[in-house]
Amino acid sequence: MPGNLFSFTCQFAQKGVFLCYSGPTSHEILVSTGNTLKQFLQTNNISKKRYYCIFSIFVELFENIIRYGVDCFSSDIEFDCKRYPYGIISASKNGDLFTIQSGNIISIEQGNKLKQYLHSINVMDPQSIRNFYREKRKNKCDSESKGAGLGLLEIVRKSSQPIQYSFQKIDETFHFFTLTAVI
Amino acid sequence: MKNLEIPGSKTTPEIMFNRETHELSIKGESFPENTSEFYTPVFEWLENYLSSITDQSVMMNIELMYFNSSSSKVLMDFFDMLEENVEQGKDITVNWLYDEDNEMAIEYGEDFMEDLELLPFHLVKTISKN
Repeated sequence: MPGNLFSFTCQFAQKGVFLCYSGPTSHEILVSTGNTLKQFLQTNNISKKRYYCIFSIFVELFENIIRYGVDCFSSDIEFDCKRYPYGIISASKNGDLFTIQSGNIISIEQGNKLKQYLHSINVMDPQSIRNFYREKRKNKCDSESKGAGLGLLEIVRKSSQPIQYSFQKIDETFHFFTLTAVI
Repeated sequence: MKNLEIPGSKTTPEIMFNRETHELSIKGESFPENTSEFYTPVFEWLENYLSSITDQSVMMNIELMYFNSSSSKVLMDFFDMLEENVEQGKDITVNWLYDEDNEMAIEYGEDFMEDLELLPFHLVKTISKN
């Protein structure tokens, strides 16, 4: 396996990936990788609007992994009563477009709910998304959501194309969930 | 009751609430590890402060370059609380300071403004530093 790192690196380079983190996730890692992303964007003179859209999507995706990621390969760790779920997140640049992609493990049950929800918000036009976001923000948080329940709407709202997502079966209990946003 | 002074960090805004000048300011970026843990003392201070004032003019300046979706929810809760106080006759104004080059900041300011009925909420353009 370690011998494959060179081929991984070549594949990343071909796809324009300039940042990739794979491993146990935490807020600290979000902050440090997020900082690297910001520096990359500043170096590339990205407009302020796009700079914050890209950074925002990165943060929401990362926070989703920290909140909802589960483990099935015994790859995540627990330390000081805190869980650090496994996840992978990458940022790439192709021409003028930036892509943020995240992957994590979720239960099939979570996946089925998520699939329906993603489908319903992905077909909304920008004004409907904006209205739905405002409506949701005014309401009390739903019990299943660990955050404000606005993260995925934020991602759809700030992407310049519809988001792409997939659920790949790992076994009878788990799916690997991937979300791709282009800005 | 003291002024509330929380220095900014990489993931939390600087918060300066001054009970003598009645100027409240939130400035920076907001994506705390634990949103409610960070903002609960801010809410408590504000609640306490609002119940202590009568006819003073309160000015809240918000200059957030970036805030995550959980912080967006908290801001809405803040504004709802201020709006309730305006309803009770208190004099509170919010200035939403945005960078003219960041269209998202304007859009988010407009969204808050449209969701508030009584609270005076102004969008104020700041000159971009870059």
